[in-house]
Amino acid sequence: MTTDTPATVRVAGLTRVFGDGGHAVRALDNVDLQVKGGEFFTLLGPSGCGKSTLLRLLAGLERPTAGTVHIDGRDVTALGPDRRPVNTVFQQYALFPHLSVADNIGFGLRMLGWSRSDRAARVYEMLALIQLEGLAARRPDALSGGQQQRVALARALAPAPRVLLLDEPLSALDVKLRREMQDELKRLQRETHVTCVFVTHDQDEALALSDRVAVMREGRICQVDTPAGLYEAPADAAVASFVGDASFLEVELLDTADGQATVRLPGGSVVRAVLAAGGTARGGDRVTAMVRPERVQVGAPGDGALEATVEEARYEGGTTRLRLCLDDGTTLFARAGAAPAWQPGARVGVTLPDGALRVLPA
Amino acid sequence: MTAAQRRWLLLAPAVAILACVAAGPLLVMLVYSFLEPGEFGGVRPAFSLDAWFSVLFARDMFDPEIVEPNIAHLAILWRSVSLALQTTLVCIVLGFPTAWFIATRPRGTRELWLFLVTIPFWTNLLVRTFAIQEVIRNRGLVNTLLMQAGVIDEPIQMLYTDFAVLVGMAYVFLPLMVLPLYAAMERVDRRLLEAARDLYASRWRMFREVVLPLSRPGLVAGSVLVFIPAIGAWVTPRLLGGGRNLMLGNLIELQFGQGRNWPLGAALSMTLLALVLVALLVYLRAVDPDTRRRDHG
Repeated sequence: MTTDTPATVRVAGLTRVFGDGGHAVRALDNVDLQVKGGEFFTLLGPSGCGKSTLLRLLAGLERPTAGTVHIDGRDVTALGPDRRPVNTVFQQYALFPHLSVADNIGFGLRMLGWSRSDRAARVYEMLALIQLEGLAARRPDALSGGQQQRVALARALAPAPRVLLLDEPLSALDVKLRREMQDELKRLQRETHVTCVFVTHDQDEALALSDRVAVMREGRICQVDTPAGLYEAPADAAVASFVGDASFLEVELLDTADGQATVRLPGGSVVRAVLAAGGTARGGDRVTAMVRPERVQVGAPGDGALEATVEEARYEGGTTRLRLCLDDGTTLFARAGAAPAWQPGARVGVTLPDGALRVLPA
Repeated sequence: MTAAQRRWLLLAPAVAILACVAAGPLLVMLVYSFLEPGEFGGVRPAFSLDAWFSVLFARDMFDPEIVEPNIAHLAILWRSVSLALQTTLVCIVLGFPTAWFIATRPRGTRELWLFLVTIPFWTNLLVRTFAIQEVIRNRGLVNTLLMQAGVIDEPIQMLYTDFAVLVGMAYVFLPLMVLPLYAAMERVDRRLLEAARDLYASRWRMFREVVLPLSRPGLVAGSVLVFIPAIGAWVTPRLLGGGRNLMLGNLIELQFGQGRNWPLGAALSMTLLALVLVALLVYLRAVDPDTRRRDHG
């Protein structure tokens, strides 16, 4: 992925309103978006945030109320799904039950008017890609969930679409299989260089697979960034809490300079924090600051700037996830080493090193 | 009481009813078809193959040694099969778009459309058939409108033709096609249709490649449900076909009435039953691939 390739998908002012009058629901509200060629782009958000609607608008399965969709620089807003160079992997695979695996994979090619021999060659190529050469003649209902998933991928990839749309394709699989399919998906994308737009509500999946992620909420895009960017520098509290674990503290802003802030913690001690862009807070304001659990240092009582009580300790193999209650009642999540066996009720000292806190815009 | 005994005890009422009202009468018919006709109807207890013989053959009026095909019966047989097939075809052509229309309505309004389809069932068959008479007779609705519009000068003779019988039967049996077709189409996953469209199928090809094959069980069931009553129909052909265009049902009715030839009526009934069984065999053969596929999975 290079940053100066032209956008393969360009969405401008895209709006979709369902229903009318008093019952109108803005499923998608004035969304702008650009996906670069060869990128693995994820739409992440809770159910009902509009991510599936956005995907269906890209596929042409829905018509927008307002706005435009460009693919490869061509305006496809008015085109039906059969005239767009995109293919979709559907949530429950949607394989044709009356067709064999080979005929499922070849369906798009047949609709495009490929000759029988060209089709057979391409289908074989696809079967090799998903490593299911032996199952060409099977019916979909004779396949396991993971195999159906691969066939659905092959069917969508066979016509060599400019963009591959994936609508929560892994949500029907169990955890172990999902991990395998995530790797498989990344491999297929590496080998085919296809631009992917992936929809999921699973933040781990989004972080693991994506080049860039758009976090969506209530029909809008909150933030578009790389997985690391989202985790380290969330734009607001909603993104921070949706991507990874986050704790929030009320702090007093003392001073700001060059994206840095000096804040006073509830206990009175003063630390340096990162200042998120877009904030309007000034010195003296009460503001919300976010901290990731692995940045919180837990030690003996009196050891840190803050005093807390362990409310819950969950051993997670190698590390322990702690839920702490600060003396002012704030809940703080920490990830600590397994070594001392943390017990609920124990008193601990908490240190927030310089730069661990991130002051969010109100 | 063992489990097997209890099972038989529970089955007994159903078996008894089936024996009395289904198997019993059929057996009586079978026996009657091998007897001689009574003078005033009924049968005489004397064995005879005459009835079966005259289903398809006739003896020359003057020389009983000359045997020729029973042209009248063969014509009626052919008309019955042909009209039943045509009725099925018309019902398919009309029923497919209707069922598809209903299946694609929003969930809340489908029941209303289904109800509208079944409304004719709520009315007596005779009343509905007389209504059709009113529509297609020489001074009926259609001819009057056409003449007033200046399309035709003379009324078109539609009543008392095979066409009238076809119209009447298609009208009466259409719901029997629409309902199973709807049931099959309603089960077709909407995402399959979207997948087809997404894979470059036009609306028409989506219908042909996905909807049509997946609604085949409904199509086959509907065809059987229409064909079987159509081939044995007698009310509609009598009222709309007039006296001349008999179907098998009318011929059978005739034998038990004015004809006073119960054995022939019984033999003709058995022939009808055989035709229906053939139709059912074709049906089973047609749905077979599905059954086999399910066994595989």
